[in-house]
Amino acid sequence: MPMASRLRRPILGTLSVLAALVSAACAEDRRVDILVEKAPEQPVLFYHTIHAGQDQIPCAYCHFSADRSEEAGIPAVGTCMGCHRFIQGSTPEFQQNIQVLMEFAADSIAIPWVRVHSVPTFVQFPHKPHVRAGVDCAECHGDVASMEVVERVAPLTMGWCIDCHRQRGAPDDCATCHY
Amino acid sequence: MERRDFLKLAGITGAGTLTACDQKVGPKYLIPYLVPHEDVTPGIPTWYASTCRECPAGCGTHVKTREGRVIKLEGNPESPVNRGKLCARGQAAHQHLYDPDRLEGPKRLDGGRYVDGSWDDSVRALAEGIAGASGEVVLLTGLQTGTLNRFYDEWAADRGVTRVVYEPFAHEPILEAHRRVFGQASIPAYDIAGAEFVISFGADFLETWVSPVRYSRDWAAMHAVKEPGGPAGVFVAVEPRLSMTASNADEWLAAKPGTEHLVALAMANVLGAGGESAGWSPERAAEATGVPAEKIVEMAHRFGGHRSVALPGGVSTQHAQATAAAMAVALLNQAGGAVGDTVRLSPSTSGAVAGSYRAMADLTARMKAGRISAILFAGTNPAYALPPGLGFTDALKQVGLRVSFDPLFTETASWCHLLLPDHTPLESWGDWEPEAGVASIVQPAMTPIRDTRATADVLLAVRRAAAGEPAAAPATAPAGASLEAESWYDYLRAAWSDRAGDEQAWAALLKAGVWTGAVTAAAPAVATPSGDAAGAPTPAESAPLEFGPAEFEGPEGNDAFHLLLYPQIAMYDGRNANQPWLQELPDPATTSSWHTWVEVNGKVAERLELEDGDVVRLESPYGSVEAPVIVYPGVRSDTVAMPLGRGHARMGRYAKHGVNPVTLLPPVSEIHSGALAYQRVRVSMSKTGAWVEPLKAQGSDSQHGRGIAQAVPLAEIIAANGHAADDHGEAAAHHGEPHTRERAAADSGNTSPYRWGMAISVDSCIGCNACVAACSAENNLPFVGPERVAKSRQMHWIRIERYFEDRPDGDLETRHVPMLCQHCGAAPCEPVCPVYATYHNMDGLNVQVYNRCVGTRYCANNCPYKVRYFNWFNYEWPEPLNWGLNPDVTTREVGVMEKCSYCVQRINAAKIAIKDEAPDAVIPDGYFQTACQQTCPTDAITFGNLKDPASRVARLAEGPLAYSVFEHLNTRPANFYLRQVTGRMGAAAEVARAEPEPVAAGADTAAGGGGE
Repeated sequence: MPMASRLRRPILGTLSVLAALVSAACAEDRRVDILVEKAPEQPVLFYHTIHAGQDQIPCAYCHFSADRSEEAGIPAVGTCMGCHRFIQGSTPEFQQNIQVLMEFAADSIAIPWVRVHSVPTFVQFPHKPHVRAGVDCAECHGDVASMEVVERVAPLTMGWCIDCHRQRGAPDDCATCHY
Repeated sequence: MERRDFLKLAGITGAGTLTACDQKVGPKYLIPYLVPHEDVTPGIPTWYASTCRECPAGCGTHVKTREGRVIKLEGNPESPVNRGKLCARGQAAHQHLYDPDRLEGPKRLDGGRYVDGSWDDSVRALAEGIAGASGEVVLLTGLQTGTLNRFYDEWAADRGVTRVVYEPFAHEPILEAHRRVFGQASIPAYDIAGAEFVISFGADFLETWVSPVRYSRDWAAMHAVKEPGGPAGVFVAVEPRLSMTASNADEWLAAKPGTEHLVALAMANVLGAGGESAGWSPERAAEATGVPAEKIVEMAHRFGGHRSVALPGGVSTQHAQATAAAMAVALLNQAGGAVGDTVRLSPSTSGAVAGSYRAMADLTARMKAGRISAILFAGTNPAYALPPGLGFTDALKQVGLRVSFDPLFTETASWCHLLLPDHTPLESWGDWEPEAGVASIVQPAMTPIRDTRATADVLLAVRRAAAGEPAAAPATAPAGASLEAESWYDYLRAAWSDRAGDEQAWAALLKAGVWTGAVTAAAPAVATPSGDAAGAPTPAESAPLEFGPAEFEGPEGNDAFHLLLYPQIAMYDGRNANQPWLQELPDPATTSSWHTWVEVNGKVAERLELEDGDVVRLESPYGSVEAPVIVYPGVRSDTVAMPLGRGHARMGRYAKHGVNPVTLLPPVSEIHSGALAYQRVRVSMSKTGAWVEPLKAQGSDSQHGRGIAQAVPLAEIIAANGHAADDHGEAAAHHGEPHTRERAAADSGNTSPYRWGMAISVDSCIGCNACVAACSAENNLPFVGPERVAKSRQMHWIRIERYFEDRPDGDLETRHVPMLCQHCGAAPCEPVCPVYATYHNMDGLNVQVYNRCVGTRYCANNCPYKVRYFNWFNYEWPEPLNWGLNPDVTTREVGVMEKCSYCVQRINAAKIAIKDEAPDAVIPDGYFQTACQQTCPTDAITFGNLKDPASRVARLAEGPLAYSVFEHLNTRPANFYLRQVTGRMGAAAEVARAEPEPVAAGADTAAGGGGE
């Protein structure tokens, strides 16, 4: 898309992953950040078991920026529709779930996925250096490919982070994550 | 708005509500894009090139956005105006965008109250109002250049509307003087960088005058000591008050108010200019100005003997003899041979199309006479800026339809029937021509956050509505920049078709942000003064012009003072008053903030028994104000000075602080140029008995011999041929092992290739506070408000300390020292922390871990540099000011200590980025910059790796000027300061005289050169 037309309708303010920004501004009790539900109900019943498990779609196909950004990236509705324009589902249950997705797409409404993994607001966690260092997604996120509903398996506590950092010889300086 | 856009917005709004400030768990939802955006990756900033519109200078900007929100501005290195730098106002520009008091959308006055309107109804009402106007319709705009200026003119002509331009500081006298002398009404391009001697007659060119960022850079280039140990340029300021600009001068000549130009005239006389200067001998000028005759002669010889430039402006072109003052300086430039060399007359600098105060006086008279039926205000706030005596607001009542396009509810807007808010510049399309042959693109960096519309789009819709067409655009808009354009964007795009025709060229232009080309106007680059040579332009018919001191009216006697009003560096003409970072920015001269003060000389204060904070009442024949005194040695004892820009009745919650001293002024213009004479009255001053906190950031003006800002005479550097001894003056006080670059470099882990450090030049720092604003934006520094500033609870990780030195010759010498965490190798803060919240890391950083900190504040008490700041509260970021927070930096909470981190988020980002090149690559010198370093207009701050002996910072730290503050405390700081160089006046003169043997001559100068 040429730059001019992009800029005629510049980037919509709040569209994407606002986590860091909003949390930086708002969080008050820093301890409860990690107390969010472990396996919250999602607005669309999305099966990682089908996508990552059965179909073997690589994580980074949808979580597109994990290897180059601090955010792993949540796929745009358009990314879902890339396949689901053609894939309508093999069972009535799947068809129903896909229908929910289609409605979001038809109404041009972004799907409000419920956050599963978050770190406290005083922690700066960039995905990129972890992915580049060869840390497998599953090491922190668990075997998502076998989860019907995504569930947080790692404690995401500092001790857990530091254990891994020390095992791998990654920096354990406070200023690596806290600034 | 298309349905699709609406739904997107609806979705966003919903998500925003859900995600925003769930106090317990932080953001609950992850909102993806609808369609993946090829240029935006979440978590990675997207940059847009645009143009700063916080003043008319037109600096190019790079706007940093994250997830679609503007979070930081930096200068565009491609722009010839600012070359990568920005001032404090530019750094705080996104607080204009995120101003919590912006109008939400169009409104109309209904029964004495404003009610929300729709854009369609508003456009219809406006079109009908204009069509039904029986009298004149006026479009009043602020200074505009480029395409929007042309659009306004075309639209006004098409609609039969009168266009009037009003800009509070429009430099009318300079334009008029150059019209008279050179036949060309323009502000010349002054080559400060190329000069050896710069003399300013009131022009505050390091603060607000014409293009302060450019001139700051140029000044630094001019003023720097040329390697190795060579001469340096000299700068002299002639003005009644020691402005920040004058505080950087090698000599300040405090001429009586209204007489600065007589110094210039007498200098021209000494240089044999004849003509108008003939009657002004140095002796006569000395009597009128209070500047000694021998000084005038010395300056004249210096001016004639060097590549020189004289600058008119500021206070000298704001009194009753403003045009004469600008002419006198033009004549001096001519007499000294500067014209055509360092002074180049070029057409159409931005000031050239500004209107004048006189145009406003005429307009007011026409309104009073009932001849105006409708008035439209775009980008100007005359109800605040004009002296009340003019009766502008009363006259407005005679106008049937009043419309404001301002994004804020300004004083002027409060008189309007229709409020049709425009976007702020960071949401707008446009362009700006800072000078002939340069055009800078204004492009939106984010979607408008309010229901606003570009004024030009509204005017186009008005035109369509008047033509009987539906308010929607015509189906086929013809090509070319015409009023038939579908939208303002199309008009702009068409106007650029000759310079950026195809989409590829346009995209390249948007990426570069700035266009440079040949100067197309026919005017000559060099002109000669009228009557000087054959073929010179004939001056237009003009009222005869008398030189001589400017007149002041008002009370006389011992307790009457010349009132000097000046645009303050953070507030300028008042347009920035609702931006809290700027409100809290310490004034470079007084270190005060958040209010309007009266600067009074110490002798006067003693006589009248005034102290800082004593509220006085100033009365002129036209009005009175009450404001607290700040005793300031840099103002003459026959003068009191007040900053402009604060004391708004409307505009917003932050703008209301202070008073507007314009109420003291007579509603009269300077006769020749039509400019408002800001320096026009004397005032009486009386104590009210009240006292308020003066809100000064700095307790003492003196270093008390602590050697914080050290200096070395230039002659000494020259004598040592660039290898000045490393211990003299205050520096001699230290004991023990000297602190060196190697010693500092050793203060980091053996395994780390880095020891981050800084070299900060006291000599280059002009005290402009751009670094303070840049740091605030980069590191989410809150503003604490006047009540907490009163308790010294500011949160500025970097601050400018301003010290006055007593010199033997009685001159006031100012030193500016940026003070920030020194990242000490032996930091006194670290051992006193009971919880290991502050410690020294392997890269040599003194780290502050917010989540470990329990708030004992021992560290701050133990810090000799006083650079640690405590969060006494959870400081507020009223929505949407919090949208500008940098997501890469934690926003601190109540009860924790914070301080300069050397922009550790940038260090860590660089460490991650460099691994893309090789897994074990070391960050090379200059790979990234800290926020303060990046914006410093004079490059006073150099950041880098002290372990790398080849890095710039290491070389400076090893240089002859380096010292460390409080070296005797053995804290082993990572910050090296570079001494102020004094005695340029003497040394430069000697060098000039004695060449080609500068070394010997320089040595002689040490005795007589006025150094230390």
